[in-house]
Amino acid sequence: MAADPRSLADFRGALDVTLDLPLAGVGCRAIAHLFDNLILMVLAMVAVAAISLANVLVTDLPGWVWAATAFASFLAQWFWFAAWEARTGQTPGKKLLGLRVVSRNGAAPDTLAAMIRNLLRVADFLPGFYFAGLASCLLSSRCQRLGDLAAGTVVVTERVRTDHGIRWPDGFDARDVALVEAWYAREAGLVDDQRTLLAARMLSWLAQDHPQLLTGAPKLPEPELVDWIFRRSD
Amino acid sequence: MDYATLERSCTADLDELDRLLEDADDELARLDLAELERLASLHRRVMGTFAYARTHFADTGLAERLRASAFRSHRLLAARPVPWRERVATFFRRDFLLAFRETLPSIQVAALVFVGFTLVGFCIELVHVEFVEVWVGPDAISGLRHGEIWTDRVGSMAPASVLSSTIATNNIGVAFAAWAGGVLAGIGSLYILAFNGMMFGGMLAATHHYELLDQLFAFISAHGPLELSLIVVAGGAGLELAGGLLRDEGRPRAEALQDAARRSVRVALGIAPWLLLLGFVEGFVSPDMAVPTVLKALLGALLWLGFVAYTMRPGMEVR
Repeated sequence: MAADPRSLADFRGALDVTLDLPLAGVGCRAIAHLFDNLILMVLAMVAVAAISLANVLVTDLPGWVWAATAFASFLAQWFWFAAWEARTGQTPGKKLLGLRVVSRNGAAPDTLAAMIRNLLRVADFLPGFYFAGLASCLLSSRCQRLGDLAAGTVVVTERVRTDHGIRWPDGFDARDVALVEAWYAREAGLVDDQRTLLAARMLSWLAQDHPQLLTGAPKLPEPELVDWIFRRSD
Repeated sequence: MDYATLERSCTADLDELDRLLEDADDELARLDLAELERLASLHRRVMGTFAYARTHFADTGLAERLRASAFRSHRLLAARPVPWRERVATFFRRDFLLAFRETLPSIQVAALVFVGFTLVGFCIELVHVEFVEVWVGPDAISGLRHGEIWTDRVGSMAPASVLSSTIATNNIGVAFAAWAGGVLAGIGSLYILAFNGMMFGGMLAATHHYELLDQLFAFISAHGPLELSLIVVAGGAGLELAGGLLRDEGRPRAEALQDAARRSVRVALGIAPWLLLLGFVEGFVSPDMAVPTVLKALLGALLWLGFVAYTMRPGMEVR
């Protein structure tokens, strides 16, 4: 099934070919953001624990240590996301979720764009819990929060479907490939009866359209036979 | 061409491209010229194969893999890496100054808003003496009645270094918020300008009422002139951002907003080092009773003139 064009970000690449990438949804962006905040929280806790310990060991900790801690906390709060995104377009949270911030030409945002999209988080957060950002995401055609609109950036998803190690036989067209890929994407989640039933249908389709694949097939249960056809090593 | 033939024809290219991308690890500078040329050549081949795969085998694993590799190489080749030292130097030597000049009309509007609300705060405080309590709290008002101003206690609240750091980060945060508020059609920026103007006006009137204006002046004269000016500048940057959203410039609104954002964020970022410097002044100099008020006022004037001389230096006029 063709993807909804509203869910794609497109860039012109070499040979003027359009590269269309799926846009990241609000849910996975929120999870990535939570993960980044979790990292920041852990870092803050480690810093507080280290300073508290130092304060016990050295009874009169110099004021500059506290001043530096306050400043580091400020930098983390305002620049953590921008610093990561200006380099590769990914914070650790986005990397974990397979998301990436890209500018209009498909490259990572430059420093200024990364600063704009992240300093504007304060406006996206208003009146609370990223309401303005969420509303903007839902209303804009490319799921852009206010920071993205002002920076000219979008968040795309880079996840590539799992390679099932399929050894493709000759003569397969797009429809054949789609059927086999759909089988491998779903078969692990099926109960035994459904799995056998669908495998039998697959075999019946193969017998009709690609009978040569069943030549010399061993006697195996239906799902294993499908596997033998598409994953055999000879 | 069937799927298996297509896969066989591009697997070697894809594997080699992926290897080069791994070697580059998101930095083009890690590749030598031969590798870079090979990367560009493979990118073009993969793009061509991707165009074919998308047409004949749309939404298949191979089309997806081709797209992913083509995107990774496109991203790397489209980037314009500039060493950060050069970026910082160019920013403070040219980009910030040009952006400041371009934003000047919005800064002037922000100054009018700030001064207007300072007068409003001053007048309200003259009529309702408890008005300033909203900002400084009941203890400070009680202190004013007994001839003590709250600024006298600032120096004893925390070590000067901690005070400096806290004040500087708070002020930079306020400046960023004043800029960011511009994206809400300017309402956020106007709110911060109005809030700070009313607070300042209220404090002036309250200390005038209790005849402690000279003590307030002694505290704020070193850092106040430039600090208040920079809050106005940040608010002006926010109004410039709002202008990109609201003005009809005869071109797509998104484009106008992005241009205004790039121009105005330079102003918000460019004033941050000055606010950092003012944090030191407010933490170490302003609360120090041993420093004569005249010297503090002189320092305040020098800082303000220094900022004006830097931002208005010749050769940075808007064409």
